[in-house]
Amino acid sequence: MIHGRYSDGIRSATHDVEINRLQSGIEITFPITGNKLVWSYPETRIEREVGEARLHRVREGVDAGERLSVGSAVFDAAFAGDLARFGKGRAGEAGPGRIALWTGLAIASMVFLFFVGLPFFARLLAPLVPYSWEVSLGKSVEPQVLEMVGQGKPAKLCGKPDGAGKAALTAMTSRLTASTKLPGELKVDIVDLPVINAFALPGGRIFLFRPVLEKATNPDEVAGVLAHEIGHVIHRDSMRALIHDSALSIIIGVIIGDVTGGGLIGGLGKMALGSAYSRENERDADKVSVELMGQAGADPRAINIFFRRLTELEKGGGSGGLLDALQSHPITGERITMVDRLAENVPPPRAPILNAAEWAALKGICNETTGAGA
Amino acid sequence: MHVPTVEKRLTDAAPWGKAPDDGVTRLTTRTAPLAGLVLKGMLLTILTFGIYRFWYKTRIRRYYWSNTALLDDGFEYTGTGKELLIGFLIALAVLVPLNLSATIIGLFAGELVGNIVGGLLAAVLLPILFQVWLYRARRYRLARTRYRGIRFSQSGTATAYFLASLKWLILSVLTLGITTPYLRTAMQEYKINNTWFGKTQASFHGEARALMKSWLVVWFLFLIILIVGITTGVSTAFAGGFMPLWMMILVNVGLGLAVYVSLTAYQAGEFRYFTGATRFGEIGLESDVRTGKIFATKIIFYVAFVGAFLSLIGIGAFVAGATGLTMMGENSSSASLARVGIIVTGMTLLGVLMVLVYAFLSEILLRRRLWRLYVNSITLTNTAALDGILQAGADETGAFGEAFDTGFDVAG
Repeated sequence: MIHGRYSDGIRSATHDVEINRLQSGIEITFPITGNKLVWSYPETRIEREVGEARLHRVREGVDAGERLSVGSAVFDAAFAGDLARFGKGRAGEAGPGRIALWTGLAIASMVFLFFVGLPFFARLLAPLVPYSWEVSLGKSVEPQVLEMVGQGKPAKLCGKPDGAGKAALTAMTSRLTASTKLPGELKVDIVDLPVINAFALPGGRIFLFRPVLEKATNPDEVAGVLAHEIGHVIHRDSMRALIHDSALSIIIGVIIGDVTGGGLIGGLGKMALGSAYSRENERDADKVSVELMGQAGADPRAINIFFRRLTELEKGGGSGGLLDALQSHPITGERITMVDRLAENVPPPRAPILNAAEWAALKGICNETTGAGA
Repeated sequence: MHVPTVEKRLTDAAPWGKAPDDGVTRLTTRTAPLAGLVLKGMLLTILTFGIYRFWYKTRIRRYYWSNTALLDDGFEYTGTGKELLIGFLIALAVLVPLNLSATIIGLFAGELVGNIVGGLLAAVLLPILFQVWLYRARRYRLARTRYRGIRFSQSGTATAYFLASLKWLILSVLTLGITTPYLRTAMQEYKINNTWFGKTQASFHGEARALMKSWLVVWFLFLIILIVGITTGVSTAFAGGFMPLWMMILVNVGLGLAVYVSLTAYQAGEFRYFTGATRFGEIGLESDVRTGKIFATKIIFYVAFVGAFLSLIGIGAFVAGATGLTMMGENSSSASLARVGIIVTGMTLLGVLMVLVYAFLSEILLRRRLWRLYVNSITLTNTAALDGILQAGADETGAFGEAFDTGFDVAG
């Protein structure tokens, strides 16, 4: 005879009962009244606690509150052979399979959100942001960015406001964009730092770094890089990236922002996802580059020749700047082939985008007495 | 039909902590192993990128609930990880758009408007939302709590809860916190008066006035710290200070400790008072929790954590030193890249380890011990009335719950 404690789920009382093992389930007998009731094995769920097996009854998916508590040792002695026949889990509780399914679904929906939802959201929203906001945003981040690339000291900009170098740069820009509708005015500058890089800030603010001029052998190579950056401006990529990244960090923060150190995983995930997203933007900017170069009658392939030469320089251990070039514009074989393919549909180049005098002035822009900056 | 409860307990008794025989019924706790549960839960949480934490939290709650007993009958937590996950996804649907719009407004509307919007959001909207959430989370937890198979539940609405405490919140802000007990009491009153065990509604019979004395001690100590801090700071800046540095440090540390002790004393006193002010029908509650024990528990935890923290840093520094020595010889750029990689990996590992150690220690040394202290401090009178309490109808979402509440929960 096993003793246990029973509650009927109707009243908050416990009754001492006697328990018998039946073939079909557990028979519960009330010693005072002699009443009996039977819990079938599938209806009966076990929860193990220290020294105690707690049983509850689930009928047709509903836990009405019937409870039975039995000492562990006697319970196991009587029912050890029947454990497999008991029901599993609680009412409404998910088993391991369901947990895996939910985890999978949650991850899938997040992956969808990251790779499809957010880029779409960013693409949709970026053009809706008034361009004047973007310009003021660009102005407010510019000093910080220049300080960041200068590694603490604000980086200097080359050329005098009305010098020949600036004039050549302006000429290049306006020839590239003569037949294109821009979201707003462009402002291009050369950064006086020995790093191979170029980027566009929000609001049409474009920066090329000094080595882009130094390593180029003709103006079309520089123009190709500039046209690529103009592509970012036209697509409002910095705005897209901004919306995308802030949304991403908020979502990741909310999802994994718990005590168990998810923040680190979040940071790594964000880096990986961020680069996946920007590859698409680079391709789009390359397309614009080819288009603008074609319209200006310059050579769209020059950027490829330039990139190949830069890669050769890296292999030769020239400037140790491989990391620099990779920073924001990873040059992949895929991108070079695409530019070559697109360039086939462009009429052959008429002439370099700058004449010899202009090209010389642009080349020398960083040797002019330093400009006052932006 | 009411079947009377048989007095003599016939079961092979579960090893509940022995309640002292002082004529009242005391809540008891049982010491079951917890460390394995915590370790496994944290590991799985990391491996699943955080998704497992809903099941982990459920498992931890089940531990605390089922190891708490009244009259040898354990409490039960019937919530599930799935419900928490769904609740979280719902919360996400509210939070993400809110955060996004705030970010976008902050970015584009210019500094002033952005600051105002951000400030409003941080100072007004989020705390309100958080209170609303806490109330809903409490509803969820009560609806998933059973004793002898009978469900607890919570009536009322989060909005009414907020409105009931709003005037005290405003008063507290206006009085620089002096009237905080009035706010706390109003919130507790609403919560308790909307708490049900089966068909029996709880009631609150307390007055904030009873807490004022102990709160004023905390408040004035805070004030003294502020005044001392400002005067010593000002005098140091202008007159070279009127007391030596060591004395200044001593005074400030002493005052800080005094505030901490007085705050702990207030919290313990509030718990005792709120518990004593609570009734379930004919059943009354009391608590005799001791400030000294709570304070000692917290101090032990802090000491243990600081010790673990320092030894982790020591081990990290030792490992870094050892690897640094082996790589001294090489100076090529690839070796320096590898060094950077090793440093980043090492720091990351150290950070993760520290978070884990904190989470582990706070569960084992802090939360479990405090749970034991608070639970074991509670006594009940007239527990015979328990046998007459009836189950309320409907299912677990509760006669009072809305579908929206299912699993709507916040971390905690």
